[in-house]
Amino acid sequence: MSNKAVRVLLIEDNPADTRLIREILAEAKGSLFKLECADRLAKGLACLAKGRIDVVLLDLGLPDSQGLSTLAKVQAVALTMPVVVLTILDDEALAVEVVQKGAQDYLVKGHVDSNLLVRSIRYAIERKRTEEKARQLEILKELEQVRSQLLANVSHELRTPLTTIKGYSTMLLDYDRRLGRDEKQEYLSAIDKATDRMTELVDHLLDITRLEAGLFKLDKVPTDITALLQTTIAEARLRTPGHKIILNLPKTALRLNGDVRRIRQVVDNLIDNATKYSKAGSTVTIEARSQDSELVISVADQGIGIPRENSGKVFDRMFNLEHKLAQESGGLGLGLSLCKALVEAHGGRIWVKSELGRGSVFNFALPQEAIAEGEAYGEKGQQSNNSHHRG
Amino acid sequence: MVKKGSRATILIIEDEDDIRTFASRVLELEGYRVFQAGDGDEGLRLARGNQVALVLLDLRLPGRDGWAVLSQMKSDPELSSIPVVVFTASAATQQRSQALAGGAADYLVKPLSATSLRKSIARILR
Repeated sequence: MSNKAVRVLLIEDNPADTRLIREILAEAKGSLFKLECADRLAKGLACLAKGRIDVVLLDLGLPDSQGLSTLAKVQAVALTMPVVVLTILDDEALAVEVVQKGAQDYLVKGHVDSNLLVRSIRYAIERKRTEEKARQLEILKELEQVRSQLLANVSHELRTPLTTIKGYSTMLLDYDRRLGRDEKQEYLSAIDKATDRMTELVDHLLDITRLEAGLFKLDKVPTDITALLQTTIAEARLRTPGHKIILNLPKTALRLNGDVRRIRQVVDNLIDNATKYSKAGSTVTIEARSQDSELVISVADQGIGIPRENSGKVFDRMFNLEHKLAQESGGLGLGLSLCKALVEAHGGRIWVKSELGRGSVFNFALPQEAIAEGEAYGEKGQQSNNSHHRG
Repeated sequence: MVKKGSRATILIIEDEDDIRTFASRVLELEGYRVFQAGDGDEGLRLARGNQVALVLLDLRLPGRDGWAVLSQMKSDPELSSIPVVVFTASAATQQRSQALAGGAADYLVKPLSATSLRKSIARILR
């Protein structure tokens, strides 16, 4: 370990305890410590926010926070910070619990001597470092899994339209004289559709890659959501004539700052999912409303629904990719995780309510930042003086 | 080409309409009698009592998948002698070995030309 001073933050409201620890650290031989003290959790968190701390000594019972939540609040602002918890009682159960909740060590006040404290601080720092490495490794492993599963799905999904193209084109070549005119037309049009499907897949894949690489930029403009939904639904009706697609809009116009293309993509995706997982002839209802400075759009179907144990996972990337393997084709299996990413990029949220056998309602909410009165919306380049929200 | 009257029956189990049409049409043009199924359950139903000479089987199917159909067929005395040709979009060697070990007569990877399909089927039914 280097000779640099270890920067310790003590969050402790009892002056006697603070004084004791200050004395011990000042006198510690062979180890150089730089101590900062906070007598309230809020002060401690402010100090952590500034950085430049190597380890936290934390009393759980503070005037502004008590018990295990004190530890949680520290972890919330400094996930990678080593923490040694100071307890009053020699309480074995509590000790186990704080360590399980992510503290690296604990000390019982009144039983702290120089050796013990210095050793504990050193130990906490090293242990946290090891834990961090393991955590990073886990993240990498998961990313690797996502990648290889995505690759498997991409390969499968590209092969399906390729099979149509290869099959029909070689059939047209090999049996030219034995095929009727109408039949040939049918195969050529299937080849045409298969190339469209491949183009869609490639676009989709590029979107996902851009999102992952952080190269994704929203092109936010004041948008008339009412008009956007009307166009989207009109096209969806043409795409899936077998379903009744209903649009319920409030009387007042709905507007927000958003990326038109991306919002359409989310709505399209949710409608396509709704029709895919419900019987022809059933109804898909799209609703939009303004609520608590959010614009909420919902897509409800009368389809197969989602088992309760999966309803929390449907937006999860890995779940989607794996689940995809078990179902029929038609996409990379990343539609819903892409929707989530697009909605979150707008500062919004997405959720589902579902009942098995009765249907699902997918909802997403986008924040409605103030659009200046009189500002022309949906018209790029016409910015009023009050406009502060572009880009 | 197989003579009329003595033509063999082939059952195609495939959920993608275009691919099922492609395989059916090629095999019909080659003189075979063809039955089509869009999922595993329908496939197993058609495999019985129709004097099926060969099954062309997709692996990724809705409901009962191709793996389940293969093992069901191989463990059923009535169906176990029918050769099953797997026709799949998965090129993984591990899956190929698994399918062959499970009793598949051949493992065809999509995409496939009309000629390759015709030749593979003819080789097995020779």
